[in-house]
Amino acid sequence: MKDITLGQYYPVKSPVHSLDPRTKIILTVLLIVFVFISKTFAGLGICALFILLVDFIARIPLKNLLKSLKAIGFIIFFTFLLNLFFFTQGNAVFEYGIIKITDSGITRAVFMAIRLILLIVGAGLLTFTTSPIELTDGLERLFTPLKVIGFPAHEIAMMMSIALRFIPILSEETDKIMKAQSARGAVFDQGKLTKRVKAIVALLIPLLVSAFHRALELANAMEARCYHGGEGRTRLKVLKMTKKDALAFAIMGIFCLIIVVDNLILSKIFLVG
Amino acid sequence: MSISIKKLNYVYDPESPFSVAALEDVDFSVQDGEYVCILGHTGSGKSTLVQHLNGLLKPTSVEEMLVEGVDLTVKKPDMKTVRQKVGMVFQYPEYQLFEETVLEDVSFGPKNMGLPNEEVEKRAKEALALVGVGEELFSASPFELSGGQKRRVAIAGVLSMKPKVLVLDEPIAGLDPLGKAEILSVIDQYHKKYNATIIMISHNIDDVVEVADRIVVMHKGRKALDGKTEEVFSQHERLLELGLELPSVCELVYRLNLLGKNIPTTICRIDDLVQFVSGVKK
Ligand SMILES: Nc1ncnc2c1ncn2[C@@H]1O[C@H](COP(=O)(O)OP(=O)(O)OP(=O)(O)O)[C@@H](O)[C@H]1O
Ligand SMILES: [Mg+2]
Repeated sequence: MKDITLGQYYPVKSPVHSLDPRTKIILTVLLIVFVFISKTFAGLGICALFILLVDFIARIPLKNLLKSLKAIGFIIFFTFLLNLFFFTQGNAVFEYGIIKITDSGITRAVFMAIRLILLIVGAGLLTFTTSPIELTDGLERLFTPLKVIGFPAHEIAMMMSIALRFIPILSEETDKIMKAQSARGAVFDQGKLTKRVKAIVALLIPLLVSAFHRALELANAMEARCYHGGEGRTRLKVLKMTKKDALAFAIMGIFCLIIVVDNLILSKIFLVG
Repeated sequence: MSISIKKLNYVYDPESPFSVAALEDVDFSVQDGEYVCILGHTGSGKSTLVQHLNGLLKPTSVEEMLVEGVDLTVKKPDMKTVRQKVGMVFQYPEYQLFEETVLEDVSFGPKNMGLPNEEVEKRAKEALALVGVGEELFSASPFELSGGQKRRVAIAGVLSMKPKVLVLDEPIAGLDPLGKAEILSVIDQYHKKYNATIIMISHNIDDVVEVADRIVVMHKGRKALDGKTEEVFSQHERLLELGLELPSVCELVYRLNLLGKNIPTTICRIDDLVQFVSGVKK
């Protein structure tokens, strides 16, 4: 079971989950682009509403979605500070020595922070609703046209799916070896540095040995079953666009239109950055 | 009392969509020097149970958990002592080998205990002698040994810590009959020599019946049966219900009794059967 907890994928059934991965990839890219080109707070507000709506349809607890912000909280905060201190146009609201904070600096800093948050959360929607395997599959299909210019779409996708397949195995193995060495008195999280390094070596060597073993076994198993690269391989699961995907594209189209209108009209009145 | 556990519950990944209740209200106690075997269908919670014995897993909830005098229910249990008193051999323990030489690998545990060098070496050599690895292999790389040899070196790596309780999770899985017999005899020797408590998980029911004093059967995270080997194996129907095989001897007795013979169901070992049959004939 634990195999699928990999990444952020949140396995429930929802209209969003059942979309074609290609649709989701394209729509996510569009969403990101439009978050970027929104010029007003109202625009960002619409983006936020849209993301919330999709999140609601996808039946993902908001708590989980926001958790993905944790890892990059620092970056958001840093961007905020940079904008706050180094944007010097506008009226000063606070001055101390060389530090000068302006009203448009504050607006801009807040705007940038919100934009960044929306970007992360928006991209998160994709990984929350699409399993890694579906993702690779979708990417391979999307990049297939690039084969004519020599882009190794199949090989890259195969490497990605093998890597994905191995992550849970390796993490299970790590867990197992850590337990075995802990039982022999190895301590990973406290004590003298030399002892901890020794404990890590005791973990890494068996891990590498088994990873090489498995890689060899897999290569043999693939060759034994006549794997010879992408040429002429058929698929078990053929991706198919359905009405649902058309609907998703339509909704996205309306959303994009709103942002464009917002940019054209409102931004004349209330322009940020 | 070597181990005393009351109402142990354990949930993997609580509060996630994948949470699994692996143990439910399990009571488990073991006397000093007992040889206990844990049986059960795959996924019944055997490995989860034994990993609590040296604090590798922390109970989700438990009423009492005393292992070799160490209270594991407190916030910061004395892990160092527990890890020394309870040696744990995992399934396919050869994965834990990592040092350059066999002797160094077996010394890893005693070194972590902070013993002086001479004592470390003495214990490592003793343990290797016990598992039957000759001196000519002491300076070999553990990675160039055969599968059976690796297994023995890995077990020596745990025995060298001289644990009072030896826990083994399927120690004979994947070995040929001779290899199995060798490992079982190593465990038996350790059991007798140090009056150590042995707790072994195994699917090899025919081996289990010959060595165990007591049998615990796990079923879907709960303890289904617990008692003396003869008692547990006398409940033929119940065992079949729990998805377990009968030991060959019990199977024979069961089938003969179905045909109307009247053989005591407590007979589960070959020796007992031989004695019974030859005794009756006389
Ligand atoms: N690391 C883990 N994460 C999540 N669930 C787990 C983990 N390890 C075990 N489980 C689950 O807990 C339950 C008990 O597993 P456990 O490994 O204790 O069974 P077992 O009796 O040792 O089985 P086996 O005979 O196959 O070794 C199973 O349902 C299993 O899927
Ligand atoms: Mg197990």
